[in-house]
Amino acid sequence: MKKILIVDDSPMVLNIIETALSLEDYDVVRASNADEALKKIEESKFDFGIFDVNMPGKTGIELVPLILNHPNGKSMKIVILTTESSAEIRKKGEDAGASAWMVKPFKNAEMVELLKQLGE
Amino acid sequence: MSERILLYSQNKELTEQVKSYIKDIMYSLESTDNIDKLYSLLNSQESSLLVYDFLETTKENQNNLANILSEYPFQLVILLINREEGDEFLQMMENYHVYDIVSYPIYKFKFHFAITKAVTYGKVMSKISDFKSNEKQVFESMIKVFDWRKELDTRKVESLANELIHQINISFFHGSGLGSLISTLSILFSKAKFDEEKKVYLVHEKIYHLLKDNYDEILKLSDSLTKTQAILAEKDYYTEKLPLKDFYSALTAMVKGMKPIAGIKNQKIVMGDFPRELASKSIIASPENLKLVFDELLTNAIKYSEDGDTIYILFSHDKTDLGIRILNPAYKNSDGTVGITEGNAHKIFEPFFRLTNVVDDRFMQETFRFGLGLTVVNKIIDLHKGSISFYTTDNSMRKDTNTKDVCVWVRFPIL
Repeated sequence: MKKILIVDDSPMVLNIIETALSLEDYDVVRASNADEALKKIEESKFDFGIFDVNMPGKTGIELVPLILNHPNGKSMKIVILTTESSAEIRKKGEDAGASAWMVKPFKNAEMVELLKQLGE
Repeated sequence: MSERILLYSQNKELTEQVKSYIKDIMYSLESTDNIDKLYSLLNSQESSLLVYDFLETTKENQNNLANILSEYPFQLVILLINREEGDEFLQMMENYHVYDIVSYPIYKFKFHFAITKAVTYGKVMSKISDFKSNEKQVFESMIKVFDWRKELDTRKVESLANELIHQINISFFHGSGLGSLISTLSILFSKAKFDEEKKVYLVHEKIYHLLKDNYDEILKLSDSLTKTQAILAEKDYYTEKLPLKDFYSALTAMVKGMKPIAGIKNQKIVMGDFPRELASKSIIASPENLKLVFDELLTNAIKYSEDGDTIYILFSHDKTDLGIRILNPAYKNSDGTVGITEGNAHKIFEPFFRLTNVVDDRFMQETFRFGLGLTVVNKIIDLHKGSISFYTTDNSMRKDTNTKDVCVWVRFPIL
């Protein structure tokens, strides 16, 4: 079972992603901000991450290198999730080490397909 | 004011004669026999007409004349010449735009006629020039106005529209709004299973619960928009005479009720003493709407402060107004500014405007969650004939005095 860390300050968004991915047999772990995510990565290894950009405290983009530089997060594929899809922010995400980008509101089939491609 | 004529001549007799003729027609005359002085007088631009003695056609005089005519192409010039000068010379003079020539010997009336005709011409040309200059100025002003309009119509409006759409997008599609519902529905459509026998779609209970949560959120959005619309349209707005001691008691109760929200980030709200001298005074108010105002302002102060911060509520008054200040620590914005700047102080009352792209869903209890809160607050205070302003001020309440506070100052007229 693939393990995925989802980080978003919105409980509703966390519920949606958790529901969608648990129905696809992913092991989902949730965090509501970057600091909480950093604690989760201390505890176990993950295959994927889905990080929201705009959160109180560190942004999802700032969180990417912190996770990828952690021994438990080195091989993680991280998807950035946001309402903003400007090229500038995408570039920042890519520079930070993110593997893909997903714009809110995301479609379930697209998210599942994206994770499948990243896992191949 | 009489016209001023300038004479250049090295012939003293001629100079005296011209002086006498000019005097007859009540014009003033300045004469010189020095070419440098002539340049200086021309530079002063005080003379409307130059009378140039060209009786002596020496090479030097020819050069001087040619230089003057080319350097001062708009100077009105009458040449005094010898009768013997031929057509070739006159042709050359025409090329230099000499206005007229008066040949020697100079007869008084002929000279008067030439001078007054030239001065009249000069006045007309000056008026035309002024008119052209004014016309040009008007034209340039119009261009500026149209450029400004153009800028408003295109770039500024585009920028405002872009900002507004961006804010609406965040308000409705970030967090628990329409965006969540769309994502949930996408799960429903991709995971629902059709039962051929019963002709029904089967939905996983997790998806059903998600839909229920989304439905509740969308109801809140709908309620929020309905309430906003009613307040902005001034519908169902009733006021009463509200004793200020009752207002203070209600605010105290509200602050106590906000403890759980302040507790989300371990914050506390400190209320200042109410001015005793106002105990018997009242305001005209809608208590229900005032509750919305302070609920929104205090929630904002909590949201935009950090862990462990203290929010202060202070009271002040003068002869006519009660003032309530809510202060919370100011933090750096994404553009490097601190707190509320002059640039965004007026924007924050605009619908959907947000100082930050972060929608903190920990404060989901807010009545106006979709970037409408301060628009509604502004309207309610306006209906109370009060005023509201946001500004950044030096911190005088906290230990670290080198920091700034964001202050919202609300005023109501006292009865």
